[in-house]
Amino acid sequence: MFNKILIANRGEIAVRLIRGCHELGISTIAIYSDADRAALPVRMADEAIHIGASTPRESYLNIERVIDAAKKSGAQAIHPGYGFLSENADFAQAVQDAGLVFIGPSPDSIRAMGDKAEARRRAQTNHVSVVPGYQDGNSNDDLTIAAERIGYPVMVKAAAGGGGKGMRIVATRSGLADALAAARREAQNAFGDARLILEKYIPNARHIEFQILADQHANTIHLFERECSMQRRHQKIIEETPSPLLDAAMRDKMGRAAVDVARAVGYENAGTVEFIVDPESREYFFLEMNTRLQVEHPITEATTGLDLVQWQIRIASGEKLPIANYQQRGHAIECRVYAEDPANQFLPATGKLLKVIEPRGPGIRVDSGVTSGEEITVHYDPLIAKVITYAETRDAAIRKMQNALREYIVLGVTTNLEFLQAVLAHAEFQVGTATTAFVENEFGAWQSEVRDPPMPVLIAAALGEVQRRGTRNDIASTMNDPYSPWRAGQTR
Amino acid sequence: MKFFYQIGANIFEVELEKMTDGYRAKLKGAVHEVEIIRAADDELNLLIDGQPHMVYLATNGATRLIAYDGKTYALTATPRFASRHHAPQAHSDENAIRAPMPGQVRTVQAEKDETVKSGQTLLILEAMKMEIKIQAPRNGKITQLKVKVGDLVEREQILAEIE
Repeated sequence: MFNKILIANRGEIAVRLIRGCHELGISTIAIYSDADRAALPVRMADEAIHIGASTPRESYLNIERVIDAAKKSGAQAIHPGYGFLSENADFAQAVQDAGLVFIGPSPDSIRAMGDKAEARRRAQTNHVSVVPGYQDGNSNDDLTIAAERIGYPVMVKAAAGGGGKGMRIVATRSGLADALAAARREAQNAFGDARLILEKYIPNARHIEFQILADQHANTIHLFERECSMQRRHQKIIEETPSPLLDAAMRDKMGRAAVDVARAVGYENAGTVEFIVDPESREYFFLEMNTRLQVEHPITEATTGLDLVQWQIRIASGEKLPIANYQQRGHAIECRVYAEDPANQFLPATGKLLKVIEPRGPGIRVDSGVTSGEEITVHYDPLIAKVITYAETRDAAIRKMQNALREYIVLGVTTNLEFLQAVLAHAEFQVGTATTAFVENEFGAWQSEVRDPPMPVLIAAALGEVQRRGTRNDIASTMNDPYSPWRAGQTR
Repeated sequence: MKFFYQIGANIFEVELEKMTDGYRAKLKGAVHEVEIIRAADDELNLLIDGQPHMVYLATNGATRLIAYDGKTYALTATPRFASRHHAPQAHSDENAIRAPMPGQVRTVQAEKDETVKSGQTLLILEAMKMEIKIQAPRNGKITQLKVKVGDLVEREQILAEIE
C-alpha cells in the first residue's frame, strides 16, 4: 500500500481524494495554482506544493510540473481525479516513466478508449452494439456516403475529442459539408486532430452508464448503472441510480456488455462505459468509455456501499477484488450545484462566497470543494458542490433532495439551486421518463420567478442594518435568552 | 428608523420601531410585531406576528444578499431620498459593448478605428471552460478597445465602444 499520494486536481474531487487517502492511512500532497492558494484541499492535505499560475495550462494541466512536484514530495503514486490530466495517455505514461504509479488504467487503455473511432471498433469486435455510425475512412467523400447510409439526422464528432467540442448535429444532407468543415476546425484547435466519426443522432434517448471496476488480477466487474439523462447543453445536472428505465434483464445484459468492452482493452481500475438507450425500442448502444472516476460516482457508492476512491487506490497497489457480485440497494440521486446564473442564460457566475451552509442529515451527502470566504474565479469548472441523497425508494430520495436543496444556503455567488428545484418538481422528472432532450425542451426559456421580496426578507434586511450600526444594545434588549452575550450588561 | 431597498425597478420601505420586547415593523402597508429569538453570524431566527422565520444575510457593499425559504434575494440598500427614476441596473450608454459574464479575454479580433459589421466577432471571452463571442451589435466603427488578451473582466464591464 502506498505511503504518500499526490492529488493532481483541485476543488471538490481533490477533497474527496484526500479524504479517501486519509481514511486508508495514506498521507497526501495537494498541488495548487495561484488562485487556489487557500483552497479547501490545500488546507486539508498533509503537504501542499505550489505549481504555477491560475490558468490550467500553467498548473493543473502542466505534466512536467505535476510530476516534478510528485518526485520532490516523495509520493509513490498520483491520483488524477477527473478532468484535467485524468484521461491524458501521455500523462499516465509520464507518471509511469518517472517510476510512480498512476492510479487509473494503463496508458494504452486510455489511448484506445480516448479515440472514439478505436473505441467503437473495439466494442464492435467484441459484439457490443454501437450507435449506428461510421468510423473508417476520414475523407469528406467517405463521410458523406456514410451519412446517407446511416440516415439523417447524424452527429458529427471529433474522433480525438470530448466535452462537446468538434460536435455537430446535422439534420439534412444540405448541412453536412459545413458541419464537417466546422467540426474539423474545432477539433484541430481543441485536440490537434481533425479526424471525425459519424453517429446516428437519437434525439430522445436515455444516457445510461455502467460503473466498471477491474483489478490487476483479471477480475472485471460492473457496479450497476447510473441514469444521466438530465443534461443541459451536454452538461449533466442530475444523476440517479437505479435507472427508472431498466428492468433486471436489461440491466444484466448491459452490465455484461460493459464488462466485455472493458475486457476488450484489458482495462484496469475504475472506468465507466456509456450507452445511449432508445426508450421506445429498448435497444442500447455503446457510446464511449470514460477511463477515469466520474463526477457522479457517489450515487454508486451510496447504493452499493463501496468506496470507489479507496478501491481505486487498493487496485493500484495490487489488491484483489474480494467478491464478484455486489448488490444494489435503495435509490440515490445527485444534483450538481454550479456557479452559474440561470437568469443570465446560465453564464458563469463568480464572486466571493460570503455565506455557505450545506445541508446535512440522514441520507444526505455533500461533496464540496469550497467553504465560506473563498472566491469562485473564472479559471476553473463551474461545479462547486454535489448534493447526494440516498433513501429506500426513488420518491423518498427525491423528497430528501428537495428538502436538502432548500436548506442549502449560498450567498455571494449565484448558483443553479433554484433551477435544480424547478427540474426536480417537474412531473416528467418525477415519473422517471425524461430523456436527454427533456431539460432543453422544458427549461429552454426558464427564468426564475421575478418576485417582490417577501415581508420577512425586508424585515430581516432592516434588522441587519440595525446590527451593523453597532446598536448591539438594541439587539440584546430584545432577546429572551438570559445567557446571550448580546444581552446588555452581561458580564463574562 | 426607516430603510429603503431596491430590487429591479422597485423600491421598498421598511420602518422599524423599537419596542420593549422587539420591534414593530411597518412595510407594504401593514404592521408586524417582530421578536428576535436568536441572532448569530447573520442568521436570524425571528418571530413575526407569532410565526417563526429563519433568514440568512450577507452584505456586499450596498447589496444585501438574503436567503429565505429556499430562495435568495439581492436587495440594494438605497439612501433615503433615492430617486424613483434611477434604475442602477439599466445602462443607457448604447455605445458601450459590455461583458455579459465575468471572464478572461482569450482573443481580440478587432482594432481601434476598425469598421465592423453587425454580428462580427470582436473578441472572445472565456470563463469556466465556456467560450463566448462578443459581437458587434450593429455596423459601425470601434472607437475604443478597452481590453487586451489575458485581461480578467467583470460582468457588465465595458470591453469596447462602438459609434
